[in-house]
Amino acid sequence: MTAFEVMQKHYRQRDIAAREWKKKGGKVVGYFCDSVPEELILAAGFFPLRITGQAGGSTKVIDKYLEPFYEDFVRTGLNMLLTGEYSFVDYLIIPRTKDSIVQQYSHLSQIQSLDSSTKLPTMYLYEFLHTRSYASEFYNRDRMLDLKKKLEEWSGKKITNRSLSKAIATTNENKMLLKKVVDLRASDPPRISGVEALQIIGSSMFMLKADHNKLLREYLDGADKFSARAGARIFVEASPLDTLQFYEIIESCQATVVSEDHCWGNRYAEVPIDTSLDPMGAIIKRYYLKSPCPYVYQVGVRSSYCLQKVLESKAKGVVFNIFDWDPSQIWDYPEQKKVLEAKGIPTLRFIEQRHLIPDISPIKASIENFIATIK
Amino acid sequence: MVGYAVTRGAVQGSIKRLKSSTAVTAFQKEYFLLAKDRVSQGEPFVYTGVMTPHELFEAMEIPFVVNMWWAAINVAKRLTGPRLEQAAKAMAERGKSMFGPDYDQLGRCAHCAMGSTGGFAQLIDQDPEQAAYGGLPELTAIVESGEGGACPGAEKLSAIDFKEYLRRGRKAPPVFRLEESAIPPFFPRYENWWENIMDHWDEIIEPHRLDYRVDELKALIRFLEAVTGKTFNQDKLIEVMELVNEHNIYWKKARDLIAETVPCPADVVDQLAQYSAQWHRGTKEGRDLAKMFYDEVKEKVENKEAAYPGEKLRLQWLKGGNFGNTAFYQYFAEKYGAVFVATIYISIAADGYPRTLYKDPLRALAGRHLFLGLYHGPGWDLKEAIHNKIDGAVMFEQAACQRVSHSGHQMYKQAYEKAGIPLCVISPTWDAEKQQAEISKFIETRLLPKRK
Repeated sequence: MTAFEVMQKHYRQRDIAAREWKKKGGKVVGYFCDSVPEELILAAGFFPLRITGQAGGSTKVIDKYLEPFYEDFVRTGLNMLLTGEYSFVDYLIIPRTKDSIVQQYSHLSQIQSLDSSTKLPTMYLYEFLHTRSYASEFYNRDRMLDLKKKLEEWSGKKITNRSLSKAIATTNENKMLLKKVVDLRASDPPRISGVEALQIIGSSMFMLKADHNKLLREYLDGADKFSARAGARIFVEASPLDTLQFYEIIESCQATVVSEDHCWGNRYAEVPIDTSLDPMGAIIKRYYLKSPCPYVYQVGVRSSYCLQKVLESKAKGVVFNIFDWDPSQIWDYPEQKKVLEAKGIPTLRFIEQRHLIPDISPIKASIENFIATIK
Repeated sequence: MVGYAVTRGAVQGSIKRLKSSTAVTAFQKEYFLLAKDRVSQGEPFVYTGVMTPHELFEAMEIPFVVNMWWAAINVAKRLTGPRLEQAAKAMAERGKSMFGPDYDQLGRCAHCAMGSTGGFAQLIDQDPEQAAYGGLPELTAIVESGEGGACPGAEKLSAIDFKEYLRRGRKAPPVFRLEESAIPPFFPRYENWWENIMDHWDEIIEPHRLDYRVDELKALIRFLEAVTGKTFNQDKLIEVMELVNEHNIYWKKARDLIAETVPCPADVVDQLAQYSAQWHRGTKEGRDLAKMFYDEVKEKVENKEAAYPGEKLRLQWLKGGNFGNTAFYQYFAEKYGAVFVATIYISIAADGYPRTLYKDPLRALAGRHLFLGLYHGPGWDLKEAIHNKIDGAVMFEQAACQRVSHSGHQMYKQAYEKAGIPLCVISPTWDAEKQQAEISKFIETRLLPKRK
């Protein structure tokens, strides 16, 4: 198999690397979102695995406990936790990001108390504030130190500066290599499709970083042979898109998704950790100041970031894909649209979207029309 | 906390049996007009949210108005009869026309849309004819809570409101935003927090949250001193906090009497009417209103006067109250002797709000606001159900908002049925007749047969 094919396999079968790790006697720490410092998990000797839902997956068990007004990917992810599909995960870190994520700490606890046969990983609520201020920086630093202590408790050993430095070196290398993928996507013409890129970036969160780095190096060795892609250059502004369907629709319309703003895309790989600082301080700083997630930052910061990324990628149009029951992304949209259109960048919006789009034809037709206007 | 689960009334005119219920409404209006008068004589004025520490405004004698109350009053003003569905649609449309057609999320985020287009819209427009009581006076400051900790939608809506406010050329008052360091679901250290929160809040709530909140309160005090010219006095805050405790302890005593007396002396209609007094906690008037309520309930118990002498069943209303049509509750008492005796509003304050000060009123204030007993699952509600000798409970199907509806009807249904208490989940429509039919069926098929 080629390096890309291996990454693709891990993107599609998200548990195989973690299960292999378990077979060898290791332990797995699952986490939601990209706000949890993987470096700490790695330094503690665990396998960090980002928890996802399953597009079109069952919600039969979680439907007994949870109302429909949570995003599909949250509901199917919880269902997978409750039905044992994540039974190989030993610990689960739930960060205080959006409401639909952080509330699951309480919901899962309540489900356990209602049904004592429910087996779940040991959970930890990783709490932090959402603003950038002098006071919140210190608060967040202390919460990350608490997380470090919890990981040490789980592992039974101290996380040393040496192990932190080693983890940072690995994740920084991953970001550096992914940056090359970003650049190849944004090149003129693009050399990597959005569909491929999502699999390359996403697989990083389902494998050990060191293994992913090896694959990336091998993949990028052949970069000079990557074919040029024709078609319209599109930027996607979206709710967390951990599936390929939407990009496949766009790229079937003679277009390439050259960049995006969501946590399964380029944004994941931004802002490497500053190795001139002490390791723990550097990790704290990176996660405090990383690229703005919609659940964390004010509208103005988000619009500026969106515009910056669109201009960097030389995209000619922006397509919004906002999940049903995503209250944060929807409120970013009007301001983002305004700043983009002020720069002459046309936009197309899809809201109240499902994780798995049941009927792609109307969406494809809209995208085709949109692309025809920007070519 | 305010509920916006409202229905168009099929039964008009609820009956309030207590003088204190009318007194609270009258006082609220009187307070606002007095506040306007004070402002006209040069006093400052603060526009603030539900979850901010009003105790500081009271301690510094700064008149203020709460956004949700202001929104509710302005909504009511537009109505001739309880046509709240029309009002919500009108407000959503108004929001779109105010902010542009791209803000169509306002229709779904109804809870916050009310606070925005109902309350803040009036601030933005400043049209005295559209506003209750001739509108708000000039603002000295806006104090909000939840920067980064509120529902992301609500937080962004707040920023959008303010941008629009500035864009319309309104004079920008300084804004202070408190950031929540403990958002729902705050996970209490003690499962039965209500047994210990008053005296052991500093053990239940993690110290780092308290530390952060105390820092924020100090910053807020400095801000208020700077913008109002007033000076904070800790002794006054102690007085305010003690009055808050007295106020809520009266409510606790009243709630306990209601819970333990069969038939109940005061139904939820009178209990809901008390809620506005919460905006005056920390004042002698607020305390006296709570005492008045308690004294009336006690008198009724002593005189064996029931709200409904024909009480056959006792019902609990869960989560957001039906403030728009309280007559709705009394329909079932009239028809079946099924009396709504329990609601969250008085009780959560009774159990969740008082704090022993331990000579540190600022830390106690932080401890109070960081944990109000809200959104923590069905445990406390079940405790209330048992205490109030409930035969059945009713709640709206939680339909719209992750923040407000956290631990919604599904979880409650599981917990209540497991405890042997039937729970009726009714449709979140505007049609009171439909909802009455649903609850009637519940009473007829699940509660009355059990009673026999």
